Amino acid sequence: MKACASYSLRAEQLPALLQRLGECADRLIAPVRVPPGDVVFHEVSAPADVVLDFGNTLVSPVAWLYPPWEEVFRVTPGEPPLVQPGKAPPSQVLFGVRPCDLAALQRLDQFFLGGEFADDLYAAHRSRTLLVALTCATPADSRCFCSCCDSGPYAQEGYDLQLSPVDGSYLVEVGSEPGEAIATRCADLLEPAGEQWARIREARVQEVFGELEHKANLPAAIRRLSGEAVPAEVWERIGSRCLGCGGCSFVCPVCTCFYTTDQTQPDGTIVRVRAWDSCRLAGYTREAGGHNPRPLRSQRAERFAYHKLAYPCIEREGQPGCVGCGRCVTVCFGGVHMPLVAQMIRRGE
Amino acid sequence: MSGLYEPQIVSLERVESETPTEKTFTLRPVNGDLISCAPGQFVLLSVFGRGEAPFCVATAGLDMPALEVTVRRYPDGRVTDALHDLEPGAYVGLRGPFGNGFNLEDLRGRDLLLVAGGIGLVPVRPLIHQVLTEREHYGRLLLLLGVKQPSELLYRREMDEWQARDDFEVQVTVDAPHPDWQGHVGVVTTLFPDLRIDPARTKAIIVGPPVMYPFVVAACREKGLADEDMIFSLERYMKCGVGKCGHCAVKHKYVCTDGPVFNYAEIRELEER
Repeated sequence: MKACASYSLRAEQLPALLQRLGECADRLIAPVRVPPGDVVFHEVSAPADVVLDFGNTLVSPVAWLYPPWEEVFRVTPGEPPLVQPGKAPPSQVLFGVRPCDLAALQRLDQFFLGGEFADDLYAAHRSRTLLVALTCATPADSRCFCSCCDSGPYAQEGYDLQLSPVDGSYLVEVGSEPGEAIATRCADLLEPAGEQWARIREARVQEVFGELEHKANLPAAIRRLSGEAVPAEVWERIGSRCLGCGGCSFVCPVCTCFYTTDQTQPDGTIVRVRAWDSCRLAGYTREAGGHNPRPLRSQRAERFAYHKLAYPCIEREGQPGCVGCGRCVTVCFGGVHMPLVAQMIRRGE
Repeated sequence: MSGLYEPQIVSLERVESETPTEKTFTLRPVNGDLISCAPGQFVLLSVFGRGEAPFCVATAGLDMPALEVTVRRYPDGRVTDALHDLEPGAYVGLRGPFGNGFNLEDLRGRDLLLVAGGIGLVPVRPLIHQVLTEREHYGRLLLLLGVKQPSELLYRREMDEWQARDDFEVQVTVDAPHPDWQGHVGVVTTLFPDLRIDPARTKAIIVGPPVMYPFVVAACREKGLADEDMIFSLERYMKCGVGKCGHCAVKHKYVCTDGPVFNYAEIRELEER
């Protein structure tokens, strides 16, 4: 849904808006600063705790819709055992979502809700979540590259509300019916925004776009990876620098792999949980009999890149599996993050 | 919160030792639900407290009161190990059946060359049952079965029945000479030189350990079989069975939802074993 209305909000009214947003759901999740200074998305009780001067959080807010660890069901032993579904998640407003993470959420929507089977765990979070996006008025971080992924620095869709800083105020764009309902509830805080607001915002976007480094050139890597074979040495070189830690997958907002495991509680109840997994880990494809189709880090590096960038996967999942958030650049100890991998694929060396 | 990932409770109606390492479990839903399962489909079984793992179904049919799985025990397999310790009457969780199974429309009217290695026979067994119940719809039916040693032979009583039929050609080989074995010795491809098939009429169904595949593909090609006429049931580690967990993905294919049955033309470019 395209923006259907836009308003302006004076900066000093932002706490009031946050207060109202908090009243729209069971919880308000927003960026807050925690010791020793990192910014994380967390539940907030006081609007004053919310910070806006952050680049990008190391853990994406998608974790509030697809948690790192989640109960699937619990089993009470008995004759026969009783399987009970996990609790429905609370409703939430996710405030301050950067456009790259919003783009990631659209990919998760397509992946988890589309296809033959809809993932009802994700659907439960998604249907109870309102998304308030925050555009990047300056490049969020020297490491991000949304300009290469068509996923920023502002969002064209996928939000309920989108806030853009404009000259000491905010342009508030409405992107959905629930978003319009919030705007109606906040009518006393908002003023209709004239056309000049959109023009100023657009000019600012162009400036930010110009400031971003266009270093990843994913389209060229996609063409190369999908067409001619990438030399095996490329994967071997990436594999030799990859520590196999899975960090890239765990911070990637588009990565969806999970494993499940059973945890037995002291009272005998068994809880089936699902938790994030990574195709970079050695045991990811290892079968009970010991056979492992991808025992080498180079093979797993190729798998990771192929899934994110090769046409057949893009065709299946609708979009490339990278939104340019730059988190893998931050975490990869071996320095073989997406921009470099894309470059190595492109150059074939 | 999840209907997709919540198993139904089934009881172990029967537990039958097939070999020192394989048991066949008969699973019956405790609520009396009937299960329909096509040949080649798989289920996910939960031993609560140990976890969940995928297994081929060894039986097929519509509205069955129970189904069978044959499971090899692996010391490192948390679920297989726990399953083997269970007695009749124990409860486990079941999800599925999932996966495409064999395309019977595609097989009817053709000669079927079944090539199975070890426990690769398990997913082939329901296909054999299916073919034998509508035998007139198929041409020749051949089974080439290779096992490491005679003690690994599954479904012995059934094998005797199959071998006694005059409309089912069964050949069994063991990898190496063994005092208990008077039959053919050698890996399964050593049965190919004497094999007489009409490649234009034949579909090969090939299930076994990954190491077997390149040799059987080469042997089938030598017999003139087209890649489209070689059909595999693949095995991959899986956590969900429904295309979400990512574990079974090979390139852009998911073994769980696109397979586990593929023809060779579909998978020859996937470059993984």
